[in-house]
Amino acid sequence: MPEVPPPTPEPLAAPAPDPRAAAAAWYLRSAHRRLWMLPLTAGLVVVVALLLLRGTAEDPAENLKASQAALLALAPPAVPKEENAAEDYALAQKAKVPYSSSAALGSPRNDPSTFITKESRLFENPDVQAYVAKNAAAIQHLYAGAAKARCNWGLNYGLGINMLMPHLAQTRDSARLLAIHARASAHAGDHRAAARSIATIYKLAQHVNSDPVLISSLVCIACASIADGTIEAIVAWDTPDSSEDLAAYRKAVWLDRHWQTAAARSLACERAMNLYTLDGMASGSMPMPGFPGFWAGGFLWYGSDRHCYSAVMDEFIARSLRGEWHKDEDMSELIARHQTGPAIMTRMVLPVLARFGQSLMVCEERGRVVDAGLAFLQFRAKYQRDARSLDELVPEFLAAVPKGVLSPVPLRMRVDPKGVEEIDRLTQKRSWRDPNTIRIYALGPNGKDDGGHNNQWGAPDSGGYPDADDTVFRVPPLKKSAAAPGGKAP
Amino acid sequence: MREPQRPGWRAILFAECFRIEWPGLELWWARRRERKKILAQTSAGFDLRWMRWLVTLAVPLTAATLLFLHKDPAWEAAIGTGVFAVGLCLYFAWLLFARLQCSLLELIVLVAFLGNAEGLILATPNLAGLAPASWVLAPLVAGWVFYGMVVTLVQAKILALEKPVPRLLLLACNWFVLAAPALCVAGVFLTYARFAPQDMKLVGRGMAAWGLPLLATGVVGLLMSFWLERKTRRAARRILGVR
Repeated sequence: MPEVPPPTPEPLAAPAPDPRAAAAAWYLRSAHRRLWMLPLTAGLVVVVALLLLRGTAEDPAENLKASQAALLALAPPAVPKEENAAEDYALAQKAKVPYSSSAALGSPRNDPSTFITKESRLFENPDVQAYVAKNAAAIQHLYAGAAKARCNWGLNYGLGINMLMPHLAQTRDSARLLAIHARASAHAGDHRAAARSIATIYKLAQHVNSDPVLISSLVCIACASIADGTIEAIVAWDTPDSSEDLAAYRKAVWLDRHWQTAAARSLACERAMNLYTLDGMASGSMPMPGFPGFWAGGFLWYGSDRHCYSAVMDEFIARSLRGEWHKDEDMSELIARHQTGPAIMTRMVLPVLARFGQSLMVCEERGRVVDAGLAFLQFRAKYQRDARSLDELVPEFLAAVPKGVLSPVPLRMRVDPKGVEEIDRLTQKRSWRDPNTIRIYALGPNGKDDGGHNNQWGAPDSGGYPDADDTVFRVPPLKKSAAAPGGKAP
Repeated sequence: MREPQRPGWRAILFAECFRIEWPGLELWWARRRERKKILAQTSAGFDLRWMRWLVTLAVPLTAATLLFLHKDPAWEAAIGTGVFAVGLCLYFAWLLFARLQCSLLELIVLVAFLGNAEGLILATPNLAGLAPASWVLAPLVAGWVFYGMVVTLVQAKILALEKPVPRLLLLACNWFVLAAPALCVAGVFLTYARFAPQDMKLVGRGMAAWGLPLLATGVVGLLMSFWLERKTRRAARRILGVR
């Protein structure tokens, strides 16, 4: 019998891995998981922020419909072509001839926009006279446009913040051209023509303000300031002395500029336009080049920003209608009161608007000061002497002494023995002209009496006050030869 | 032979830089390699190695893309973070459903918590319109929930927790602990917003008031994470017999 080999023992099966040990080993190998905590934490920060902000979250697609309708409703009504002043302004733009300086000695080489406040001798220069003459057709078109009551610039409000407004720069150019024409006419002794050009500038300012867009209001202020400055320059260099000429200038002045209504209107448009833009960006229907990361984080702050912006603007508009305005610091407090979550756009945009209101108020105040200055000159023309105070102009030349807008106190008047300080931009040499200048002024934004001086925007006429910001109209002193020896008070 | 003490990082750096022969260091490195090898072998049947590396590589790859490509940083960050978030979600979901076992109660809690968290995110107005944000945040939140669940089950196994209530408490604790650094960051940000100058305020007063509570909660979470980690690691080392 063959020997049966003993059965070989089966090899031992590998011990089954202990699941507890495997889990423990996995737990101890934590290097990868520690690295994952970085992006996980970053993502969870976004989730935490989202949970905090979701109470203020809004749907931009829904908001977009409402904000678009609100913006389109603000567009001015259509005007027939023959009644539309914008058509004449467009013709004027085509007829404009640029200034060219000849090589003649003494010929001004720089931009004609700087001619407005220059000394009158400049307007005797052949190049300047040729410039005015070549633009006669453009000026006639501007007169024709200003004679029309209605103006529609044909802006596309559907584009929101991307709306093109080429007419704004053209209007400022037109205002400067008219100002140069007024200065040249006044220097030539034709004050009526000068007054007509100034009245046209004011009308241009009103026409440009037919659109409620905030930037249009700013250009309106700029045009009105050009006209105010031109009157002051004419008074300084070619002082009109006949009552008729002065009456023509006074008639030209745009006196009641309704800054409260203008401010509320522009702010309402600004509100609608910014909300439309914000909704468009958040819903992706208005891609903003240069703002690529909006969608990545925009949803976190869109709702709270929109809510804060709307609330602040509503209160702002209501206050401006009541004649109240804010300084920058008040605006910051107002934003803090309405802010819930992030309010990036609100904090970027709104503090600037406080300055817009101040510009409107200064513009209104300037109109009153210019009118009072012209009334002062009318008194001088009639009685051949200067009034001792503004009260003396009441009631013959003024119904009452006007009050300032920023500080509601009556306008003040003083005689400045030093005169008007000027500076030569090339040599930086300072000089004084017209000693015993009469300064008629309101207290301006800082509410302090700076002696009728204003050195804002680089003007040199500080009078020793560091931040002089009075709204001032300077009247040159009465010439001795012109003074009648026996002038009597009314 | 007594195992050498772990040298400090300055000593290691010095020895590596100047090629200094240091028998103690060599021995320490050798034992460390050995310990890692044991851990890798023991966890080989549990882990999903390729997926772990995919998730890990998504982080530096996203950073590198942002640094060197940066044609459209927002999209690059969204895609990179999205890959990371989906990878994280898949890795832990696979561990949870293929390697671990949870009770029915834990499954219900998981589903309820996941559903609520995702619902809060996806139902936020404006977020649905911003598809890239949803792509990133939804899987990231799912990854966080699965991560917490997996870590809880592993810890429960290591710490031999069997009763349902302690396990559920541990689960809540882990979700909280994982979110603690985020709570700290959000808390610091809001606390700054609370005490920042008026013009620099990034959020309103009501929201800024959340700053200190969030920060305090985050710090409590971090302390809990240190305690839990220490306790679990000790138990895990005891199971494996390694130091």
